[in-house]
Amino acid sequence: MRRFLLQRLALAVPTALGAVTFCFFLVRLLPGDPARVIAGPQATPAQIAHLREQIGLNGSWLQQYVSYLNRLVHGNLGYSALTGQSVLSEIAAHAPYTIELAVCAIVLSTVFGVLLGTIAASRRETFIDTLIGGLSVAGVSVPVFWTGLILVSIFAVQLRMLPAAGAGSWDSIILPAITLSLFPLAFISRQTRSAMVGALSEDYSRTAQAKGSGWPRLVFRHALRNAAIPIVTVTGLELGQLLGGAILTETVFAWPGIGQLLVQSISSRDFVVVQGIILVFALSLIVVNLATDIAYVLLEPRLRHGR
Amino acid sequence: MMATRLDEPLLSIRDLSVGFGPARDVRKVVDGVGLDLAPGRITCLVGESGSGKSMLALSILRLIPRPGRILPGSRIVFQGVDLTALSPRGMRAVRGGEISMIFQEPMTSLNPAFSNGTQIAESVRLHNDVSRREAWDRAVELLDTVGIRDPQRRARDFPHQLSGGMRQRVVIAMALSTSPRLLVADEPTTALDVTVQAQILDLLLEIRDTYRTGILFITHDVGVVGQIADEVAVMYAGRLVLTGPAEDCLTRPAHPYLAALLESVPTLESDRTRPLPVIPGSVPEATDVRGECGFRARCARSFGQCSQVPPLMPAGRQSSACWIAESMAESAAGGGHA
Amino acid sequence: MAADSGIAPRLDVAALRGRGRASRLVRHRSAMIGLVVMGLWILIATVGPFLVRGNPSSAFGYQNLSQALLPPSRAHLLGTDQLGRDEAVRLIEGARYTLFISVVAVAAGLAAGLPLGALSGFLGGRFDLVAQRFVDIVLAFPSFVLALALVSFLGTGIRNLVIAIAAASFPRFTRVVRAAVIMVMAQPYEEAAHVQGVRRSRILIRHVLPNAMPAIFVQVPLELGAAILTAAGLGYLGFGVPQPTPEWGSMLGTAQNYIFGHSYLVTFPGLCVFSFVLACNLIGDGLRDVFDPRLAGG
Repeated sequence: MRRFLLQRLALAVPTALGAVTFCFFLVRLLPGDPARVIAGPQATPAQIAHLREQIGLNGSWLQQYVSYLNRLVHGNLGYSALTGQSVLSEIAAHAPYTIELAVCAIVLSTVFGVLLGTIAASRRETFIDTLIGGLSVAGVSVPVFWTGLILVSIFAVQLRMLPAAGAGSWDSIILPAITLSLFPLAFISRQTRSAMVGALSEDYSRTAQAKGSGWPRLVFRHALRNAAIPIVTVTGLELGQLLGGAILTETVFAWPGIGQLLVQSISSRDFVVVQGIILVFALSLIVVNLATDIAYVLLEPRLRHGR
Repeated sequence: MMATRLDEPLLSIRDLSVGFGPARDVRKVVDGVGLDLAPGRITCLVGESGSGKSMLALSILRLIPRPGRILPGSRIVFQGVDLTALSPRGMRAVRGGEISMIFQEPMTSLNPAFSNGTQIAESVRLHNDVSRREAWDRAVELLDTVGIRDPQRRARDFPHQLSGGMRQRVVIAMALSTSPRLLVADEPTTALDVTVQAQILDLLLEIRDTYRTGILFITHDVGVVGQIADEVAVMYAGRLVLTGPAEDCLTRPAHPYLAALLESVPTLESDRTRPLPVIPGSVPEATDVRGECGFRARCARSFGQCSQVPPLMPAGRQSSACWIAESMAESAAGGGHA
Repeated sequence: MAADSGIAPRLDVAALRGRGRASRLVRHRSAMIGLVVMGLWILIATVGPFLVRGNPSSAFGYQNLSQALLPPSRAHLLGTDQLGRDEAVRLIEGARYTLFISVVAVAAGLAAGLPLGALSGFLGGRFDLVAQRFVDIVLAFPSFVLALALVSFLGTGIRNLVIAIAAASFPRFTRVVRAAVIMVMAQPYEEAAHVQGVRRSRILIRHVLPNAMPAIFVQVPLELGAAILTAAGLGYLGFGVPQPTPEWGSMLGTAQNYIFGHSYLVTFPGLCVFSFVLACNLIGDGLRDVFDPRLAGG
């Protein structure tokens, strides 16, 4: 087990470094002089020069790269051209909203996704199975922002039951969370069905039945415990898509999370912020993937004893 | 068709048919089998693959996988209750309780996610109202009974840490945990090495002697039958073709099929200069042999009368579905095979 | 987003040899539905613009504010937008952009991913190690975020849009092709060919690649669906093709401003995206069932 984890950690480090390097080049993709572009058409040469220094565009490529890494290690992601605040503090201010949204969406999608997938697997080839299957494929085909808009249209505009935007009241999170959870829910449902069908057809499921296990015990204890392994593995990898969905969802609902910060920064050409957020996203994803690996090891007893 | 009736059979199977497909066009894999199992005795059910023996075993506990099903008219009576008519809840109480079943693949029969002790203890708690602690202690005890050394540690271990033979012992321990009256064993040693196989067979004999558990042992290996059978039952193409005490069936088989099977097993005395006798052809599907004796096409002794399905007829202490059963039972085994 | 991220399908090479794959596909109901819908959209995208050429709404820069924001009626089947343009006409025009951008992006992703994945699987060793690390890095970014990042730094416009979407798509192709190649290479007949002295490049092109085709067939429609969703998402945020070009995503973006009272503007563009992506996924799933039923878990 230890060896497996160390391997994964060893893989994560160059990946993280690569992601960091990619972000390093992002700003330099801007046409012409990045500092001038970021500073904007109103800026004075002095301001542009100051910005140059701040972003670290002076010196050779190697010098720039090293100082970039150095700043990163000290938590310096630069400063927003719009507000003057440090990028890190901007992100920190908006992060809780995104985390709250993401957690709600994950909980919703996991609970209902696993439930639906399990029901579909235990009622294989029946109408219920086809229905859930159809809903699942529809769920992964629908654009997340359209879901949001439709929900707003129904619940906020027509029925006036829930707020259409913002994070003002306690029920503001309901529609965004549901919106964001739809795609992963459908995805998890499909994965669960397939994993459960596999587990239920294994010999140990037959043994459980021969022991006198009833249906609930067979499904939720014996089968699900084994199906959880592939479900968690594949789902963990898909979690990154959730971040993309969060950006769009936050835009639909004007939810003040990092996603909205990102879109606003792009629109206002505040590229230092953009670069910082992209980096944070990538590093978070790497961490999430590591967590998935840990979960996989914990769930799979065969890995724990090194056979 | 019925075999020898016993006065107080452990399990009484009457007219059991198992099939697939729509009612109008049913494909039968078990056709009208009647069999009594004696308490405290090992009955070996012999047949090649395709004979329906596994389906018969699965039907006792109603574990036939969809889309197969036990066909109407079948009766399986255990302790006065017809299992085919039992409610799902009642069936669950029987499964693993009064009747336990073990299967062929020890490597995959145990759940890899739970420890050995947990799985045995689960069996105990499903059928008895005991605490976790008590169930666990019983599990350790059982592991010791089936001959696993260091049972405390092995109970905490996981299936993947055990060899095939040891896993099968764990499975047997699980099956014994509720002191069942009947143990159905579907080819439990087929997937094991010969030496391990011998150990498991010894274990089963011990279980019969110590607990007086009746065992229905399914196998295709005639050699195994010779080692442990008290009673023999032979299936062919979905039908029961022979039953009787082991010593009679194995020395003077009243059915040409068993006779041919016995001949095809090489022994130390076999003539090594001659090719090994084999039975030509292969087992037909049960549905292909309506109307005539199923073994006819492969039998060296077939004659005109064989175009009619022979009923089970007494031949000494055996009961055989063959027109020449009596004469078979009188001659020594190995009489004439092409 | 609908495509698997880096998990490649296991292939039953023996099943590949079987004839009747085409007939199996035809019998697959949901895949057929997908093909029909896709066919309709291709028809609309190619022929539609010619049919509506006469309609004033299709003219570039047209607006007629007196006709703005009308609900669906006989004159305007799906209503009009905030500038008085016929919604149905714009949606038909938009189909072309959606189809074009996604197809080109996926083709580019395939063009990059196929050789990289094939060589990676075929050569193994250090090349494979390095190539896979590179793919890992790209996959470290969620695909929408990657596309968004590229578009924000490169600028908007069709060319950059295609680059951004292709960049998100190509690592998945690489993984899929690599896995298929490795699987095929492990087959005994490949070793036999090698031992017989067949040149390695010939093995690769003549034997290995054709057997990797099914994996690619399955992945392409799924990537197409993902590309459409990404393009629409970028369009919604305002980073897609510039106005007044009709693009479904950006139409949804502007429609949001008028959601109180004119929700039909939100319904129809989204329905178009949904049906198109659904068709892609149904086809992809159907192909997957045909080429490796075990994957479907059914």
